[in-house]
Parts: sequence; C-alpha cells; structure tokens
Amino acid sequence: MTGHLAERLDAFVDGELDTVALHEAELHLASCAVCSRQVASRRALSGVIRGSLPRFTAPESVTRMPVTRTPVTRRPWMGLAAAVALIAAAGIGGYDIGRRQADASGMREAVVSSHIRSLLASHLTDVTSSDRHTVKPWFTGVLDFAPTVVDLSAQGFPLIGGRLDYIAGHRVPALVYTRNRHVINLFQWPTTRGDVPIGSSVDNGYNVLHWVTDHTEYWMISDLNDAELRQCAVLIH
Amino acid sequence: MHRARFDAAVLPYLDDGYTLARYLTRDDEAARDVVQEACLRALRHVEGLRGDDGRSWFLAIVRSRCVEWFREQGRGSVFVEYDETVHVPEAGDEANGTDDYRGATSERVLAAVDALPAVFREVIVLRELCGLSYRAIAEVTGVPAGTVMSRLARARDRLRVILTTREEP
Repeated sequence: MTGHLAERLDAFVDGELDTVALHEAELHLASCAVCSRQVASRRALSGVIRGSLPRFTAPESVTRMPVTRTPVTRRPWMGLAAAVALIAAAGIGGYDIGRRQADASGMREAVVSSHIRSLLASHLTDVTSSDRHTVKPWFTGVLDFAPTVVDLSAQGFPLIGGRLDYIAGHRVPALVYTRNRHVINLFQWPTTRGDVPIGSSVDNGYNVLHWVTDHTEYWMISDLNDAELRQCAVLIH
Repeated sequence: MHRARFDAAVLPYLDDGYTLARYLTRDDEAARDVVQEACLRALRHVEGLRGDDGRSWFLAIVRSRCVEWFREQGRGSVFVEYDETVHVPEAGDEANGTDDYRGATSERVLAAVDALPAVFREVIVLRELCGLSYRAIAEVTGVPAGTVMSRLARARDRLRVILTTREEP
C-alpha cells in the first residue's frame, strides 16, 4: 500500500500519471476515503470550471489588417508632414519619411507587414479591376491625392486591383499586380524629397524596392525574384 | 508557401489563442491586438516550426506577446516568476466531507479565475479550456512540467477555497 496521493492528486485527475504510478494510485484510492474525496472534489471543480468559464471566439479581424481608429481629417498628409518635421527636428526615431536610406528600415518593416497582412487576410483588394480607369477614381473618394495607376498587362504584370491600406498610421493606396501567381504590392505617397533611384533590399524573404520620383515615394514588395520585380518597377518608374 | 503552412498549423488554434489572451489581459481590445500581432509573427516564422501541429508553438507566441503587453503597460511584474516557496499552499480540510460547489455560479467562477495571479490563471485556462497536456502547457509557459503540475494544484486549491465558501446572503 502506498501513501496518500498528495502532490500526485492533480496529475491523477488530469490523466498525467504513468502506468505504474496510476496503478499504485488506484490501489490506494480503493481503500482511502480521504483521497477519494479529494479526487471527487477536483473532478467537481474541473466540471464547474469547464461548465462556467466562457471560451472566446477570435474576432475575424485578427487575421486582417488593423482597422484605423484615427478620425478622418480633411488633409491627413498635412499632419504627416508636420509629424515628420517634428521627428526630424527632435532628432528622434520613428517613421521618418523625409530622410535617407538608413532611416528607411522602419518604413520597410511596415511595408513588409502590410504585404503579409494583405496575403494573410485574403483581403488583397478593395476594388478589383484590371482597368486603371476604374481603380484610380476609386481612390479619389478615399484619399486626398491621386495615385499613379499604370496598367502593365501587356508587359506581363496584370493589375488586379487596389486597396486602401495603412502604413505608419496613414492611409495609403496599395496597387496589386501579379506575375505568374506572385502578388506584388505597390504603395505610394507624396513626399517633399527629391528623386531617389530604385534601390532593392530583402526582408523576411521578400524583395523590397524603393524609389522616389516626381515627389512621390514608392515601395514595391513581392516574393517575386529581384530581376523581374525590378523590371516591373522600371516600367512604373 | 508560408500561407498554406500557416493555415494548417495555426488557424485551427486562433480561438485558443484568443481565449488565452483574453483571460491574461482581461481586455477584449488588447486580446485582439495581441492575437493579431501573434498571427503576423507566426506567419513570418512558420518556416521554423517543427512538425505540423502549431498549437503549443502559436500559444507560446500569444503568451509572450501578452507578457510584452503587460510590460508596455508598466505592469511587467504581473509575470515575474512566482516564488513557490514563500506561498504556503492553502490547507485542505479533508475531514469535512465532499466539497460542495453548488454555490459556484458562472459569475463567481469567472471572478475567482480572474482574481488568480497570471501564472495560475494561464495554467487553468490552458488545462481546463484548451485541454492541453502538462507537457504542452510547459512548452507554452516555458517552465518544467513539474512546475506546471504544482501551479495547477495551487490554482485549484485557491479556486476550491473560494468557490466552496458560501456567499453571505
């Protein structure tokens, strides 16, 4: 005859004892009223917990991009420009959109996250159309600048639509192109910077291209190979 | 492909992840943010997952994101290693016959679980609601299975004392 279950009580109730220990416990329980009551109490408690504690269902939005809670202002880019100026003046970190390459890693990370979210959510496009005359006007209703929308179907990069996305807390247009089933996201927004040639980097296995032209900053990202992605960027550039 | 592997290994456990986050943070919005960030992190790193079952792996990501959330709130001490030696286990009163849980309404059970220290609350949720083995709970919480067992015992002792006490009318 072995001793009381003591610290083995929970392991017994949870079915976590090995065969030998389980056999010993059962032998002991057959003749010990105290331990039997403890086992009964534990089982009752588990029943009460399982019967009373709610299980929660994950809201559908957890696999989608974060919903902005920023109130829609008439000219959000004014606020952005002011914020950038402030950050630049204070010399602190953050998404410094107006600065050089070294500062771009935070922005690149945001672009990568946005790209991943778009794939994760099965929510690639808000407006699904290969016609730039449909896609471009759609954005004018939700942005206060007109994004450049180019159709590259003839060059093998069909446009499949556009999406309103959020980068660093700001609304940005995302244009979605494809190439042999690879998804390409193209983000753009106005900037005060001068032209910057196409530069490429790799982040999390994605190829990321960045350039500035005509006071518009572009970020392009895809799992497509660098050469073909660059080809696409050159066509837009 | 990242996405297909994520769908198979992680998506089935979104509700488990959300339930854990919800009980740990006790905040709907925080739980949603935590799980969303955990999903992003899981998708980025799913190639490193060994085996096809991502449950413990994903729940561990959710839990560590919860720990970070507490830290960001300036409440990092919530998850400070619970010193098992200074907390004397509540004495059992075996002589009093079978415990009576008839007064344990849903509200009382929820309040009692919510009042547990975080390291106790999580083992109760992982065991009773998610149905994880000690070994899986150990993987999620990063402590040995023996510690899981003793934390479960302490947590249940506390719940038992609270829930078998008759509420004053």
